[in-house]
Amino acid sequence: MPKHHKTSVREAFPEEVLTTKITGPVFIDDTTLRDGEQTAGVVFANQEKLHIARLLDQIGVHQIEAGVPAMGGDEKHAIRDIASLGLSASVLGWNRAVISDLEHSLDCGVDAVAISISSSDIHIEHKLGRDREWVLDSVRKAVSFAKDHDLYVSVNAEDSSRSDPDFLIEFAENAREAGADRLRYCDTVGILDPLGTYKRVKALIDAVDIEIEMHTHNDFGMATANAIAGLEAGATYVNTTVNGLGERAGNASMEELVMALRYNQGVEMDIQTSLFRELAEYVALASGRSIPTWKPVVGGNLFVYESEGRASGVVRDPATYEMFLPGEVGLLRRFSVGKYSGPSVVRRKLREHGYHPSREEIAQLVPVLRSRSVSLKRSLFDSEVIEAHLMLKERKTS
Amino acid sequence: MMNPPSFIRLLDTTLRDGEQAVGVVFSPREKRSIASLLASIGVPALEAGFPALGPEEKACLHAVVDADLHLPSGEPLQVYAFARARVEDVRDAAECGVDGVVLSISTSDSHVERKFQSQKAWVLDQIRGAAAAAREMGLAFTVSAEDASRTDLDFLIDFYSLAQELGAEWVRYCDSLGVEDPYTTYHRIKYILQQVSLPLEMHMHNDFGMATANALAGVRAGAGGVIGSIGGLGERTGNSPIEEVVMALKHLYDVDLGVDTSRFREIAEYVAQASQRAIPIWKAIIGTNVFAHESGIHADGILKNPDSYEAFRPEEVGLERQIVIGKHSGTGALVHKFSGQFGIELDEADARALLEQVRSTAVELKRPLFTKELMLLYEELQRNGEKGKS
Repeated sequence: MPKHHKTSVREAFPEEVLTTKITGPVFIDDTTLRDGEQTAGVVFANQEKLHIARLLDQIGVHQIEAGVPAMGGDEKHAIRDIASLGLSASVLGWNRAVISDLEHSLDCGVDAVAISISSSDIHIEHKLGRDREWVLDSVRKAVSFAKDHDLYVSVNAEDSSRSDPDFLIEFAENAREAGADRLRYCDTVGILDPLGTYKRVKALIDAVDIEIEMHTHNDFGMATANAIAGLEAGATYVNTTVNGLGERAGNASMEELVMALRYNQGVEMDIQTSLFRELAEYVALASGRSIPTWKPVVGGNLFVYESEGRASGVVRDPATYEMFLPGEVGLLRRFSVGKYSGPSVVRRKLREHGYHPSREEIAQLVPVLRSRSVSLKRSLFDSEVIEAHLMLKERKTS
Repeated sequence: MMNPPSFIRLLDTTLRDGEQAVGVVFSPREKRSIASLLASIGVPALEAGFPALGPEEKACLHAVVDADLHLPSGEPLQVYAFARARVEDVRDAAECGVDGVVLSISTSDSHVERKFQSQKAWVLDQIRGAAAAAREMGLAFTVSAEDASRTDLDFLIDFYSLAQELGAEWVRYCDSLGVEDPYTTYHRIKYILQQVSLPLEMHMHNDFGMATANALAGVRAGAGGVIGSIGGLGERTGNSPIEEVVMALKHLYDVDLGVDTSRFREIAEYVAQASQRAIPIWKAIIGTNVFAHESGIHADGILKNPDSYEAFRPEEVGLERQIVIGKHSGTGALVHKFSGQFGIELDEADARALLEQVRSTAVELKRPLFTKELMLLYEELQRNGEKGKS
């Protein structure tokens, strides 16, 4: 296994982190159309790419990473079409640190480019078969070319998290001197944790005067937390995807990041969150990957209440179990009767359908519904609840 | 290894919080099978259910307890029942013959005042009563603070200190709404542990996608236990997935809990079937796609050296590596695929010509290509090539 910097599990968080506030502004550079589509098995049709770009723009993301122009063909057409939509968001094309790639980007009329090259020794030696000097030289040439053509330039240090921190500083300084506008810090293999992210990004920011963008992967389930850790260390951009789509376990999910910033960090962005579910559904269909019902922020079951403790709390006051109201992300609150339901869920459900059972009727009904749910191994349809209620009533009167 | 393996206790709650996920119901046999699988890979403790729900649930707990499960080390599996802090709930738990009971009550102002419409003093009284009942019935007990993350720290310390006086074995910190971030978690747990010297376990939810990071932040602050569930199954967005916690501890911190990770996929598949919730193919650690590589750059890197894009080997969690051929593939992957699977050595011109066909076909079909389709494209190219020559 490759060596990367590991932190001891009991190592303390630095005191400063605990008082650090993300002062913002925070910019979202969404890569659903690039890293999202690069996911094994995902292909967007050009029409879908255009629609996703429009929705992202409408929601208010600041930059859209539209694809890889050097792939040519349909991909290039789609990027050209997106760049000519006249969106408020900046449109960025992804490139290797190669002049011919950048020429393809210029053909598409994008206003920004990412110039990507690996900065870790393991990638430089094994994947590229080159050395560090060659990497720095390629970055200089590509950045100068792009700046000569008035493009906004992000230099992506691929595999940043496994790069020698001293070389990463040299790499960033080299990019800055060549004229790059920002550096993308890539946790390509997804091996960072929040503390490691904070320390490494902070060290980089302290050493080099360049804007930093976070690109994190979810291999250990920490992409969102790591992106936020980077922002706490002073990064200003985040590279996200809708539903967390992306290579392997995916990227930091746009909707999680925006809501976590709002509710954990108190950072408000001008993002239309009420369109999240719609966007999530569209991307799910286009990518052929349905949204798990339990997906944070946009999952279909997040505001469905079945267990008695939660349901009774929420009926009294939504704040007992909800950090935000369902409408804020385009979802609805629902009640569902199942094994864990008790009187308040059953009463609520029957009232929804115009029935007003007495306390005794509810008390009789609850164990009946519970065992029915257990024997069917699922929650009950509303019609099954109503039927059980009517049958009990009938038995009583007859 | 930097730390002894038993240093953090895992407790699985697939059978309790997992089953509380909307629409999920396990049968007694399924609960027993899941418990048995967890014990067999070395998970030392689990919550088997909530006996106060009624006779069906008690049957589930009996099924797990009666199986008399042991870990590979020979240690018995510790089986807990979940209970509200009420004497009658504790009695229900005791009837099931479990090793321990979790006494749960909300501690936040929001819950105490709005959900229970009551006072903090009442909360402490409830715990006193339930703990006395547990002691009387000879049950070890954990005192759990529901909504701990939204609870005033001073009250939380009073609550845990009382638990300690009453003889609790563990105390539990619940981020019931999943609202914490790693820094807040770390800070609060550190503060609590400076005042209360009881083993504390972390129960985190994933509402903002940070359940794993938060559980680990608690460990970093000194928590002695982590609660998780297979695939993160649980209320709303679920809990900390136990496979992520175990693998992150192992690979990011060098703490090996001695769990047989190579059976994660197998267990996750069983839980997925029993809960009727398929594992998303991109699920961290156990999704079938997490070792699938399509893009030219990634596939090429992987073929040269798997370390370039993999933090650990697929076999370690019971998965396989796949190179998918589609829109984003490069010639390297094609050459490899043809040579390895069909015994055909493509030269560069062939590979380039084929790649062009592969890309346009993948775009047209909106998916990667099946092996059969690749072969057909290749044969078509060969035929056209021969026609060109003749």
